[in-house]
Amino acid sequence: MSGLTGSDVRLFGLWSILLLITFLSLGSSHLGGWFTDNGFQGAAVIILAFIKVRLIILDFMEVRHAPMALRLVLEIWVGVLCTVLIVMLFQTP
Amino acid sequence: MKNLAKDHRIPGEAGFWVLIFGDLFIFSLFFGTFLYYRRIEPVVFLTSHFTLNRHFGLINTVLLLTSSLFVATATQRLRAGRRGPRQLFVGAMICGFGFVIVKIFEYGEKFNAGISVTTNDFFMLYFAFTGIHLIHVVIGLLVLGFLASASGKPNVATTGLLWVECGTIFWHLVDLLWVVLFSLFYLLR
Repeated sequence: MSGLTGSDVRLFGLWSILLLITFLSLGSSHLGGWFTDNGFQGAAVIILAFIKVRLIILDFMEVRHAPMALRLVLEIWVGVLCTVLIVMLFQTP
Repeated sequence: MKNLAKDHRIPGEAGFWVLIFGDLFIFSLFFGTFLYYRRIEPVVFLTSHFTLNRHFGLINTVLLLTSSLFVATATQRLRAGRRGPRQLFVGAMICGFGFVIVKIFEYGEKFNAGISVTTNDFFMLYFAFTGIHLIHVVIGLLVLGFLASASGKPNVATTGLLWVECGTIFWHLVDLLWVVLFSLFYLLR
């Protein structure tokens, strides 16, 4: 087996960040009392999820270096869907 | 070797992205549908949410993220002509099989507790969306099996690279969709 290279280490770093965000989301859910409103806890969970989604698209799917049009469409999808879901969340009684 | 990923080209076949966008669109509707019904029945959704086993959801998230790491590393190694892609694809498959096994345990736990797709709207959406996602995982496992087999053949890094990339993009899509499903069903209060 060949040794680790810069790209291996970079991908491992990305994976570590994704895991860290996962545990942060779990923490924000467990510590719901920190939030004065469940809507804010939910918004935090959704934002953290879409930060992960964006990282997966850019670095695992390799869209970061893809033509700008493809990256733009996916970045817009992430931003719009995240916003729509948060707006719907705050409409919950 | 030149890093093809940094050539500002579309990863995989351009037409394959139509399938990816189609899936993203359908799951976007699923996510919106979940929050729409959650708004109508907040108490049912909150009480049902607390019956889900977060440990299962967390284990599956870690398994899919780890499989994505293996798949991304395998693709880069294949492109660079380095050793290890086949073992990494097999590692990703093991994580994928782990996901399926955990899901079977989770569904079993729910059925044993008398919870099914007809229990309420939360569980109707839970079984429907996670079930459709599980079908994606199974298809992805077949794709990974093909990639593990193909990555051992000569010249795959030149002639078959686009198809390898399509397969890996599909697997990352499976991971990405689970990230949102996990947050909506297991973490939202």
